[in-house]
Amino acid sequence: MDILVILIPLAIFLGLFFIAAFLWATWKGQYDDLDTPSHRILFDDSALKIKKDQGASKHE
Amino acid sequence: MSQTVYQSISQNLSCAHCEQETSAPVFAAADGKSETPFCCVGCMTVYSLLHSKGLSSFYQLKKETPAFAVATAVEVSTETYSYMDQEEFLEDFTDNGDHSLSMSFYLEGIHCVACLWLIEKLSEIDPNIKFSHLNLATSVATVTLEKNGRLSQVAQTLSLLGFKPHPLKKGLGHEEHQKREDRKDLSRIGVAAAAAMNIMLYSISVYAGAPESVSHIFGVIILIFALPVMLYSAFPFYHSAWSALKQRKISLDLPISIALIYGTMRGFYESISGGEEYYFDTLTVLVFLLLLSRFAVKKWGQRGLAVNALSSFLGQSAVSVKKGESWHEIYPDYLAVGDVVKMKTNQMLPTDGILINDQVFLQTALMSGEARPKSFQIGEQVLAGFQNTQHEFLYRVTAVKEQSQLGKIFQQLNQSQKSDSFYSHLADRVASRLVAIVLFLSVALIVYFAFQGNFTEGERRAFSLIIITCPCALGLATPLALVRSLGLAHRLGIVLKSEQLLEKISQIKVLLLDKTGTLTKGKFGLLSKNTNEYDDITVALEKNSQHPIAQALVKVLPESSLEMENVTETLGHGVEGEIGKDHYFIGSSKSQAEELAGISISLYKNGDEVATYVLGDEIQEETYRVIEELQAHGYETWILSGDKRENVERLGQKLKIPMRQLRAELLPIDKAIIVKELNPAMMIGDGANDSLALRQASIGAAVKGSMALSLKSCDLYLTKPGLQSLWDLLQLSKGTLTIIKRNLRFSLAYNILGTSLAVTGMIDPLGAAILMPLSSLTVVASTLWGDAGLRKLNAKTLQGRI
Repeated sequence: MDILVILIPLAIFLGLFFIAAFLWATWKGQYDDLDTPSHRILFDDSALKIKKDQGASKHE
Repeated sequence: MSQTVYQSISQNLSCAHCEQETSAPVFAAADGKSETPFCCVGCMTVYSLLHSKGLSSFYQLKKETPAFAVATAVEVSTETYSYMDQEEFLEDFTDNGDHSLSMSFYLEGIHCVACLWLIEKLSEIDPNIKFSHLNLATSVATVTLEKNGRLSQVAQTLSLLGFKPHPLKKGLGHEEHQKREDRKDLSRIGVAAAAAMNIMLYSISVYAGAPESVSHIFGVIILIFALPVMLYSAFPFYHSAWSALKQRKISLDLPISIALIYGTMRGFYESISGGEEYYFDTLTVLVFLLLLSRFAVKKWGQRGLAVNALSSFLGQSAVSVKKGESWHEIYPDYLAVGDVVKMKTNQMLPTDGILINDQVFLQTALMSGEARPKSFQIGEQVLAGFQNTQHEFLYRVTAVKEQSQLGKIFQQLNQSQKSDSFYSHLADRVASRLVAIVLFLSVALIVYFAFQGNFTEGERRAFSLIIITCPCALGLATPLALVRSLGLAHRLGIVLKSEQLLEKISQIKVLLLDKTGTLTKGKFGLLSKNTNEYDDITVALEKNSQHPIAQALVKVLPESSLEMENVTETLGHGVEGEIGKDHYFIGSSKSQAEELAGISISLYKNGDEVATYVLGDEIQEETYRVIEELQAHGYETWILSGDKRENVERLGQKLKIPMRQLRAELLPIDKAIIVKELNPAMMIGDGANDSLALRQASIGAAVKGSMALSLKSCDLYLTKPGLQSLWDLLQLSKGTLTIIKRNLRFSLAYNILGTSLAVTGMIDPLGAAILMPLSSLTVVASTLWGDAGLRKLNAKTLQGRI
């Protein structure tokens, strides 16, 4: 049972870490728009690639 | 292959851009093919623009992803949006950064994910654009420009792509404030959820029988996690309970707060002294569930509202104003008294004024309730809110903003208060009784045991009582039912500004209906005709006239390529012309029409009447059925209209509404007075002339096509035309109340069981820990099960989707 001495503080730390991460994300605006990003992620890589290539050539 | 041959062999091609079927395609060389079909020049322009910019993956995306709304053909716009570069406009509408300029547009025509992709690629098309962001749920695009970029350019690009941009003012709808509130709510929910789950971990070990030394430490850990929940997450409950108390009211939040505060103090003491009865596990879960369900209720309400508030701005578009000798585009907000304004077709007048042109026909339905366009002469006064139904005309501004008639109604609206004294929250009523009983019982227990010399036993039982009767299930009973119903309402196209409306509506038996636009379509259309044979001749004649009746006829009848000779129009009389040897005349009939508010128009061939058309304001198809059903279910239906008495009475007879319940020729303020007398009642209307009544009524419902003003004053908005949604809404509200009542009954039963166990001292912490979530679970199950009416509505929305 001695292992509890490490595991319990670790568990508490993890818990607090995730709460902090959640608060940080919330106040950074990650949850402000819940509709659009779920669609944005669906864009095919190919569609994005065309753009990237063009973008790169523009900068050259 | 010639174009004409191609057309004749393949009728109804679908447009390469908007995919609508078209019988008269325009062909262009695009995409490597020599003849790509388009429905119109607008779509063709967009198509070739996208290809030239290397953005053709738009069409690939469009194929792969589901659409939200029906795509429409692109209108060719000639607007220059030059008003967007004016300084006063920039000040009110844009955010100025150090090196950039950003602004939000509401975009008409967003219908699928491909649009999202396209909008966010704007920087490819216009090098001045740094980046652009679209919120699909609200159709709001935020565009950020280089400092020297021109907004008019952006707007032109957007409209070139087929989206109609409407500029949004800074800080519209308290967006910032709302965002902050949402973030606060989310933080509270997140903290509660995380803490509750961590607490559960340690509580289980304690319940499972951890050794004394460990359970003591766990007690302290539980306390550490519980404190933020009780002090931070649960704050809204304390706050609302306190503000209700200040108004001498007992709300449901009071017993919740008492249980939470008392539980925290008790738990604090137990943890420090090494006891085992914390209850923090259930209390934190309760806080989490309550916050979550309330947040969901709030979000559902806002969701509809956001879209609404924005689309109500659609009526506002730039107007041309005369400065010196030239014309300038200007945003209506910046018009001043004395300006000469040019109104385009279908535009709504932004201010009051005096007509400069000789004669125009304006649609005044939103202000007066009359469906038939009225004619105005030179020098006559025209009001903000009138709509131009035909050619361009000029008028001189005499009153703007608050000084205009519309503005005055608006001001009255802001001053009048909403009365909802007739109604009190069902759950609050139950809660106030519950609080009284529980407090009485706990004091009685303590006193009883104190007399017996066993104070601690009395205090222990009183504590269990308060914790167990803590209205977990009671608190969840209402919001859960509301969340489900709000979701359903959303799918049915009903937008509710407040979730409490569902409860309120069920207590209403009097329905007050506006006529034009609510019971009827509010548009001047063809009611009936006795023959199709002469349609082409009628069209050939009437297309030479600007009269609204003539234009309505041309709009509904099929196109005609016939050519008339010697056409002459006699104003106020009719149009005549010749084809070959035959002489035709079209004008008002000699026989009167029987139809509602109908006007008969007849075509005469060489003096003989050969065809008759009856025009008027058409009754919505489902009006008859819904009114009949409403009356059968004991609702009292009234018609309140600004229209002429005979029109209203004729409609009343058709709908079998008793004479006493028909009111005609009402001014906006008259409507409000009648509504006040008839409260509690629900007013259903659309125009500016309804807005005072909508505000005055216990519940004000605006219907599709409403003005911004009535949207502002209403409590709910029916986004689908026709009265069917009203019927659905009443059913929905009835079903919701059934569920709320059932949920309350369940939770009360649990409370009584819990109370008797606590008073007799028969319950231990584990028993309480099982009993409390079990009651909440029952409530959840009962809500999901719904009732017959709700299941039917749900099935209907699901059908519609497939």
